Amino acid sequence: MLPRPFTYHRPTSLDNAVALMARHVDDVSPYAGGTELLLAMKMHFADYEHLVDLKRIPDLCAIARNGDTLSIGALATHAAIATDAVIQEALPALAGLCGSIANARVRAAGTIGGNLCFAEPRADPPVLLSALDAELCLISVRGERRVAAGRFITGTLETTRAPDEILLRIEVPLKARTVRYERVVHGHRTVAGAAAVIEHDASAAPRIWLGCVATHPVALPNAETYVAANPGVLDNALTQAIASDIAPLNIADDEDAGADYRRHLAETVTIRAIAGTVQQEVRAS
Amino acid sequence: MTPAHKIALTLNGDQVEASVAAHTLLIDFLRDSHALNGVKRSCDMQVCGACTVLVDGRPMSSCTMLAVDADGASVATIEGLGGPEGLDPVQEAFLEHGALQCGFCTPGFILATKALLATNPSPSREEIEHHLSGNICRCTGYQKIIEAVESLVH
Repeated sequence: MLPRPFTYHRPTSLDNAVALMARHVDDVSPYAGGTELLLAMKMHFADYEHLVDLKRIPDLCAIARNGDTLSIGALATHAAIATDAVIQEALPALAGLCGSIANARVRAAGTIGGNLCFAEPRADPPVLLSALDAELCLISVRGERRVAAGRFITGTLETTRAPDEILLRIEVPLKARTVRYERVVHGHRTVAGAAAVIEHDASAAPRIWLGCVATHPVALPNAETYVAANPGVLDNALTQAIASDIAPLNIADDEDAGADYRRHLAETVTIRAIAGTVQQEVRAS
Repeated sequence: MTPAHKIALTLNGDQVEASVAAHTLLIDFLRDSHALNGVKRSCDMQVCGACTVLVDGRPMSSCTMLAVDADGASVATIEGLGGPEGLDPVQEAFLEHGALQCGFCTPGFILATKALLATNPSPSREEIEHHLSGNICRCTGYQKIIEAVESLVH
């Protein structure tokens, strides 16, 4: 199917883009790689009167390390992140994940910012970025604001992005930490994904997030508490803590997996992510 | 109607100027306006790879890309490969290894292979399989396709 007709704007400066978003706030979407937006518009699942193409704005795809912060421009493609030398060195888990999203064409077109803003429940990067305690920087005519990645997505295709806001960049703190993302994929879609981040500073709490199973990524507080108190321990009590976090989640059947199976996979990938950090720490020591 | 947008691109080596509506998809621009019917529409949702084209050397699903996005870019379809002197080496390899059955997926596989070898001239078998996992052959002739690509690795 074809998308319904819309008005296409191609600003070449951020100021112009912000102004266009404000002017057309009633029916506008930022447009980046289009891998999700255009698909939704082709299916007439989403319609916008105005698209503001961000791809010709300089520097929005920049990737840089500034001291202890990794800054990833919202327009950086999955392929760019996967092959970026800075990210491969500083955050190999993110480079590896972005190098295995969907297929080569989606990785060449799709952007990390679009992935976050579209908030597809099966998207992997928001899970890992939430566990990494990344911050998102957004801009509108009202100025810039920052929001934690873990608080940005609030439901299926729902975020706290205001209709006229543009995601500028993602900032990931680079600390001494062990990071692991584990997932189970059916076809090209993830049916359960979990991220575990263990801080080497023992006073900092571990962060364990689960996604691709319910409406949006969630922290697993019981698992985090257990791992904090019992570092490196992989036992039945850990499994029970994870299960108690997963029990209240609203997990539904879909075409890829039944709810019971997905619940089982959610526990499995979470244990694998935590176990993966333990293995990595053993290997490093 | 939304206003038409003027675009200028390099298409299979030729300079092309056109006027397109914003919601025109690249696949329709290539097939309908330029009769480049080697670009195949199949799944229409970026899964199968039959509509693969190279945009500035990168593999893209032309079914889910706007024609206006090709403005200023260099676009290559299967029709742009090879020349009077003969087929492209990737095409030759597919022929030699019988890496095609019905042929519907073949342009996409060949262009995906071009993109892979341009960035990684010596991919391992695992890397070839990973890169081509986004292209689907309904005849299931994957073995010969992988062998053809492996034959190009030096």
